[in-house]
Amino acid sequence: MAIAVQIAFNAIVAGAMYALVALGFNLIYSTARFFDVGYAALAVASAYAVLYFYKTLGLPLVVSIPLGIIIAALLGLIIEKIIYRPLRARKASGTVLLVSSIGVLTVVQALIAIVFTSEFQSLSRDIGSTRVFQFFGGAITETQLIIIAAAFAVMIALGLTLRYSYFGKAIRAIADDEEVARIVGIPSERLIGIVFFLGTAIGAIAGIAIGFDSGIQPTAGLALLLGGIIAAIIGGIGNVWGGVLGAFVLAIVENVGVWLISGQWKAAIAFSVLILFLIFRPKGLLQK
Amino acid sequence: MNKTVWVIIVVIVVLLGGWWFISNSGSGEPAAQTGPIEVGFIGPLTGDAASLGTASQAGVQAAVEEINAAGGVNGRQLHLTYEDGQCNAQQATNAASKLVNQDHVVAILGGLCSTETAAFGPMAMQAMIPTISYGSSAPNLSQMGAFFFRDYPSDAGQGAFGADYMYNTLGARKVAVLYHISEYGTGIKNVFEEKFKALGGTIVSEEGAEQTATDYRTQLTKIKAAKPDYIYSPMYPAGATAMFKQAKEMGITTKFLGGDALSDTKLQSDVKSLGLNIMFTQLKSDLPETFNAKITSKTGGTQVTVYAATAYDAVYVLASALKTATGGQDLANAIRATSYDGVSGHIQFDANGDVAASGYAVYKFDNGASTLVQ
Repeated sequence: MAIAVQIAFNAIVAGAMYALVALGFNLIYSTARFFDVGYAALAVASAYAVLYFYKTLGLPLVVSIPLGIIIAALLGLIIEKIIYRPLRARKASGTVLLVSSIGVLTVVQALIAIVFTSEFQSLSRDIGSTRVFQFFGGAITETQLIIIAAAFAVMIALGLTLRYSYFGKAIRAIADDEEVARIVGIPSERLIGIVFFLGTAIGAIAGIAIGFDSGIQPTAGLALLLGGIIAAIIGGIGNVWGGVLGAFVLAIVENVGVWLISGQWKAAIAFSVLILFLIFRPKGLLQK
Repeated sequence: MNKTVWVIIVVIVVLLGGWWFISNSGSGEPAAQTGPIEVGFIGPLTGDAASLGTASQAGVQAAVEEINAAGGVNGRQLHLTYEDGQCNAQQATNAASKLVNQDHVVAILGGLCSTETAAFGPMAMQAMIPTISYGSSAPNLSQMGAFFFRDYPSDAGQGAFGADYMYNTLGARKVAVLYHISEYGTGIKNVFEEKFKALGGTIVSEEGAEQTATDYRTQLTKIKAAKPDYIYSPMYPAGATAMFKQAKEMGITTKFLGGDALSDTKLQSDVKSLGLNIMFTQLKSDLPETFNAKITSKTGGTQVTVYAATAYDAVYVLASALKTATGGQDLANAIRATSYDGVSGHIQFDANGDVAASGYAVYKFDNGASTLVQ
């Protein structure tokens, strides 16, 4: 019984992290219409920014985390302005943008490795000092609870924004049909820039979360992003809530599968689920 | 000029460039008879196990300085090019490629991690570059090739020693195994399990993870549920750091016995505050104080890892062989014929390039460092 509870906790935490990644990713995809793989590197970059402020400079947490998020989000905005926007102005296809985002991923990862070395680093100052709570035989740490809370806070905030604010409605309009949105007078280019800023900020939270929970390496972004992409595809690509649903479905299947089979199969299970969905329900769980 | 002419010019330039490149690289090319002897070093200078890699580099540097100060080999100075393998197959292969094709080394000292050596070994064998590993212990590296040597013994010994210690000295009967799926982890795990079962023990749980994995919670959950007497954990330091932290969070109090990769000093200081009971097997080494001083003056640390000693000795073995041979098959034969007594023990290579183990000892994690147990 205790083992099932622990597996459930692991699944919820993993689901929360995948959900954050999928949320940001879906937001960018639904407006800019391409798979932004560079998103992964920016999530890791924010974790490294927090590492620098928190561990190297010794600034308090309440300062380091917002600074890290803002830096990554600004980077996302700058990259959108100088790389993706000119390409999109030239009507580049989704594939071209995907390849350019792979370039962004490679460059950012390499820069991080040069500045911070490829060593595996943990964000927390003292390893082992987080409080651990025991519920029904399963252990969950304070950091993990904060991650879950943050994920749900972001989900709710994003949901309310998309539904009720002018900005949110404009985003939904652009996601629906960009040209008509522009005809109606929505400044789509500027709003897409803001979307990149927000989406990258959400991804940054996920990157920082992983940094505190287990640790980061410059190449950690891709593994995290793949989980988010699978979650987004399973849940219905382009549908923001689909990403969240897909994230938890993926996390549960992964953790139960690993429990029943073996730890080595985690990645294989994740991708098998993806393949099954692409074969039998390519549009995902929730239609757009 | 029109398009056709441009195309012809480009093709000619490419062909010329290719011909020049090919004629300048390649194996078996006799090294210049004067000038420095080019030797390569591959080890993790950053990334996983970096503290062991930089210590090994210090060992090599110390040996090279001594040899060169004494006049070098046959009047020629040794010139070392240090490449960062990052304990990673891809990086190690790139490093070896550069050493062989660009720096034209006559021999390679490396890698430390079996992951590195297994990756670039075949390429070095094909280029006929004698390779002396100072730390790779995976059992299947014995079949690497005629140009492969290691002055660090194969885990065929360490795994069996671990099983024996676990059963007879620690009295464990039910053991859970958590290992890194890699040349090193899988290799030593197989030897350990075979010996432990032969002694009469049971493996209650066996969980593997990728060397780069950061989340071991599911594996630890299953191991905790199996209620073992001890956990055998042959893992690399970066993953082990994350694993120990998560084990502590999950309230696991079971004691750990790991392999030689846990001798990483950064790992030991990182998990200091966790209060876990962790031991590991390592090659027995009685390093003289003079040697320790040489290394600590370079690394600035307080502990000297045995890999610094094996790396130091590897340079001397290579230098001794270089007195009679300059490269390729001759150098490999000379290395095989060498018998040398170094700080890490007696070195003599068998037909597979292996050395006999001088014996293993068990160390315990103690407040940021490690102390000898038996």
